[in-house]
Amino acid sequence: MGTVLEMKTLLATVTLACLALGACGNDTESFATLRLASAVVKDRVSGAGGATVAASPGITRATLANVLTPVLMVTREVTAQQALVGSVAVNQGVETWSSVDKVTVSLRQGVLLATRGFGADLMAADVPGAATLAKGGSAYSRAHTLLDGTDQPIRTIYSCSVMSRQPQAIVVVEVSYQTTHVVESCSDGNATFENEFWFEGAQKLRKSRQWVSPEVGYLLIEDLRR
Amino acid sequence: MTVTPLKSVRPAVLAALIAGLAAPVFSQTRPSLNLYGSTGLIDMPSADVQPDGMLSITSSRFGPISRTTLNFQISERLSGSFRFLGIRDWNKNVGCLPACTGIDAFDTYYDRSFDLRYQILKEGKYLPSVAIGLQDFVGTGVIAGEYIVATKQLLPNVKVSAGLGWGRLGTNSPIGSPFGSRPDLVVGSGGNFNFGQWFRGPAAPFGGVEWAINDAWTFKAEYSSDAYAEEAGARRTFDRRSPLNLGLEYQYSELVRLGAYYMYGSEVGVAAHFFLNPKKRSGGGIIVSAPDSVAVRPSRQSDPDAWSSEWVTQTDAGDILRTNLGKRLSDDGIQVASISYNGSTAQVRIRNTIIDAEAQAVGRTARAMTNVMPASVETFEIVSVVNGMPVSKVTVRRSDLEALEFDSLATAKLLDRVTISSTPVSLNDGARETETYPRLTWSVGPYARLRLFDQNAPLKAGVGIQANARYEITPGLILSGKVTKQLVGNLDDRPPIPGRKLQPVRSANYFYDSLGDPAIETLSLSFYHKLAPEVYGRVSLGYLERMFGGISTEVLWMPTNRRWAIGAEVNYVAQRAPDQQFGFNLPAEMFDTDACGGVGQPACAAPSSYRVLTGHVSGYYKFDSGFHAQVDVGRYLAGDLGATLSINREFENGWKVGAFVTKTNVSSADFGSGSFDKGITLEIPFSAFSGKPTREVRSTVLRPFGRDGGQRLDVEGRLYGTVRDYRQDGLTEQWGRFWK
Repeated sequence: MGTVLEMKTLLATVTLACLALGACGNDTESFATLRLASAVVKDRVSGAGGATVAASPGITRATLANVLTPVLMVTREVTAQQALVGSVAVNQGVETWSSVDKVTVSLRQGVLLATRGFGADLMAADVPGAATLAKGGSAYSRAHTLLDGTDQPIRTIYSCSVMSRQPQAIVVVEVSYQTTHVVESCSDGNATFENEFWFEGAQKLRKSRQWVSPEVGYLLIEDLRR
Repeated sequence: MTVTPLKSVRPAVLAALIAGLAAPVFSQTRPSLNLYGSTGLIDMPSADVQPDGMLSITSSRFGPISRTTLNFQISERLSGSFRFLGIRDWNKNVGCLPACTGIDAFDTYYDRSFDLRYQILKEGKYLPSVAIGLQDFVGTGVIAGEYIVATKQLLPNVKVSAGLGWGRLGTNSPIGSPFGSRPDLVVGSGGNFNFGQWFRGPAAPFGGVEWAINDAWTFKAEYSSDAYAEEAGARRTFDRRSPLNLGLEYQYSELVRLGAYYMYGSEVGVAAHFFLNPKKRSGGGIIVSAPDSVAVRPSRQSDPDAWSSEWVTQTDAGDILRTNLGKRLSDDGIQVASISYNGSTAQVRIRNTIIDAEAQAVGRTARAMTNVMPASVETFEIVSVVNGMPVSKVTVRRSDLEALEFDSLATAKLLDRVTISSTPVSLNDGARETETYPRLTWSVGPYARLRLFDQNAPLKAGVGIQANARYEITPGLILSGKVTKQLVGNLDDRPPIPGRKLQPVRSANYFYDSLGDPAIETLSLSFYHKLAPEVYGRVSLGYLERMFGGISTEVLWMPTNRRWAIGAEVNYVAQRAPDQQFGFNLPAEMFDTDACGGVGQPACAAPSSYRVLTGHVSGYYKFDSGFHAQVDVGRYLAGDLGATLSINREFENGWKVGAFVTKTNVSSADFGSGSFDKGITLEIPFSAFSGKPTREVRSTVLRPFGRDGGQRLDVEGRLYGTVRDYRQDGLTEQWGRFWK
C-alpha cells in the first residue's frame, strides 16, 4: 500500500510540475510550445532577438592572457551583447570566426560578408577589399543577400563611396593604436548605412563598425591580437 | 544620399494640384478595414486592397450589432471574408414575447456569412481603383448585398470612395433598379449561392473619405446606403436617425488597429483589427546557431595522402563516419540513419526532426559532410527519410559547396547545380544506426478544444491536459496514442441539436465533448512502407480518431519532380462510443435531438452500432502561383457518395489558408442547415512566431455548419502531408535556407 501511495504522490507531483511548466516529456516537437513562450519572454526582456552571446564584463589584457587562440571581440550595438570569437575556418580568403555558443562572423581582410546565429543574418555579400576602402576615391558597389519572411533570398545592390578619412587614436582593451578612420556610406535609394573602419597602417584593420541587417543592426568588431 | 521621407513630398503635391495637374500617387493612408472586417470605410466598402496574403481578424460592435470577421487577401486583387454576426434584442420589440417562434425565437440572432471582393482596376495616375464585391453571397443572405466602388487617393493623406450598392446596400434612398427587380430569396436549408439576386433590385449610392491625420491617427466619414430595414426598421433594435457615420482610428502597431465611431446618428461603435502577415516573421529571421563552415580540402599537390581512397577498405570507416557526422548534426535535430560510400561518393540518409525548412536540414548535412568525409569524396548524396521511407535524394558536388559558400548568389547558383531525384524502395546497405530503435517520445501539456457556432454561442471551449506518446518500434512502424482530460470549460452546455436524417457521424459532437472526459482520443498502430520508387503506402489500425476506429489503408503515387500526386484510401471503420473508451456500442442518448428523445417526445432511431466502408481517390496539384488544389472523390462516413474540392493559398514558410466544399448525394433537405459541407482551413507554422526552427504547426478548420454529410475520416499521418515537404518543390521552395 505504501508504495502505491508513493507512486500516486509522485505521479501527482510530476503532473503538477508538467502543468506549471506548460509541457513536459521528451518529445522535442511538443517542447516547441514551451520554447516559444520562453523565447518570446527572452526577446521582450532583452529587447531583441538573436542568439544569446556570452556577456564579457570587462575584458582586460589580463583575462586575454589566458586566451590561447587569436581572437576578435564582436559587439552587437543595439543590444550591447558581446562575444569573443576565434577563427574556425578559412575558405578562399574568407575567415569565419565563431563564439563558443556558435554565433559566427565571416570576414575578408576584416570586411564583413556573412553572419550566422543572429536571426536576420547577412547570408552573403560582395564587398570591397580593404585596399578600396583604405584608398578611397571613386564610387563602387556592394551586394548584400538577406532572406525575407518566406526564406527567399533578396539581393540588394548598394552604391557606396568613402566619405571621410581622418587620422584617429583609438584604444582597444587597454592598448592604444594610431589609425586612419574611414567612413563608408552606402545607399540603394531606399535604405542607407554607414560603415566605419579604423586602419592601422596601410590595410590592417584594427576595428570596424559594420552593417548586418535592419533587425540585427551594426556589429562592432575589434581585433584583440597584439 | 539619404531616404526622403514622404512628408516632404506633400508641398510638391499640393503645388501640383494647385497647378491643375494630377498628383503623383503616394499612398500614406493605409488600406484599412471597416466594421464588417473587410477592406473599407466604416460600414461601407472601398476599392482598396490589403497587401497580398494579409490575414486579419476584426471584432466590432455598434448598438445591438456585433461582428467577428476573418479576412484574407487571397491574391493581389481577390479577397474573402468569413464572418460571425450577432444581433441582440432580436425579438424584444416585435411583440411576440414571451412565446416567440420561428425566426423570432432568438433573443440574439446569430448568423454566418461569406464575402468575396475583386479589384477590377488598379489605381492609376488619373483613374481610381475599382472593386466589385459580394457580401453574404451564400447562405441565408440576411446581410446580403453587392457593390461596385471606386477609390482615389486625392492627396497623399486623403482618399475618397464612392460606390453603388444593391441588396441591403441599396436600401437607403435608392436611385432605381438598373438591372431589374430583385427576386425573393429561396433560403431552403441555406448555404447555396444566391446567383439570381446579385446586382438586382434597387441600387443606392454611398461614399466617404479617409484622412490620415498622421501616421497613427485616421479620421473617416461616410454616407451609408444601408437603411438597416430589418434591424432598425422592423425590429427596432436600434434607432437609425442618419445615414452619416464618423470615426477615428488609431494604428497602435503593425499588428493592431483600433477604432471608435459615431454610427447612424445614435449609436457608438468600436472595432479592433488584428493583422497577421504570413510573409513576415517576428524578429526578422529564424534564430538558429551557426552551421558548420564548409571545410575546404587541401590541394591534391600539397597533401596527396588526404586524397587517397584507401580509407574505403578500413572496416570500421562507415561507423566512424556516421558517428562523427551524427555528433555534428544532433544539435540541429538531424539524425543520421545510415551512410554508404565508395571512394568518390558518399550517401547519407537523414531524418529531420526539428528544422522547419527541409533545405536547411540538407544544407547543414552537406556542410557537416565537408568536415567529416575524406577528401576523395566529391559527390554527396543526401536522402531524406520520413517514417522509414526514403523520399528524395539531393546530389551535391562538394567543390560547389567550397566555391559558393560566400557567393551572394549562392542560393540560385547551387540550385542550378544540384540534382533532386527519387530513391529506391529501401536503402538498407552501409553503416546503419542500431541504437535509436525502438524509440519512445512522449509529452504532457495543455490543450484547448473549441466548439464554434453551435447556435447558442459563437464559441464554446474546454481546456485541459493531454498526454501524447509515440513509440517507433522500427523505422516506419509506429504505435501512438493520445489521452485528454478536461479541467474547465463549457462544452457540456447542450446546444440545440436539430433533427437529422443521417447517421450522426459528426453532429453528435456534443456527446463526445461532454462524455469523453477523460478520453482516449487515439490509440493506433501505423505501418509506413515505400512500395516503389515513387509510391508510398500506409496501414493504420486501432482507434484512429475520437469518433471512429478500425483500419485505414492508403497508397500514394508522388513523383519527386512533378507538381501532382494521386492517392487512394480505403477504410473500414466503426463509430466509437462517445465516452471514448474502448467500446463501439452506441448509447441511445447520443441520438437525441430537439425533435426526439426528450421527455414527452418520440424515441430517436438509435442503432447500437455503426460500421462503414469509406474511402477516396485523391488528386493533388501544386500551381506555380502558390495555390494548391486537392480533389477527393469517394464514399464519406455517412455512406454518402460525392467529392470534395479544396483550394489553398500556400506560403513557402508553411502558412496555408484555404477553403473547401463537399457535395455528396445527400439532398439539401437531408443535409440540414447549410445544404452541403464547406469551410475554411488555416495552418500556421509555429516557427512564424517563435523565431526558432520547429516543424510544429497549428491547424484549424472553420465550418459554418457542422453536419453529417460529406465528412471524412480524420486519420493522422496521411501520406501526402507526410512526404510532400521532401518532394522537389518542397525541398526547393525554401532553398535560401540551405545556406542558413
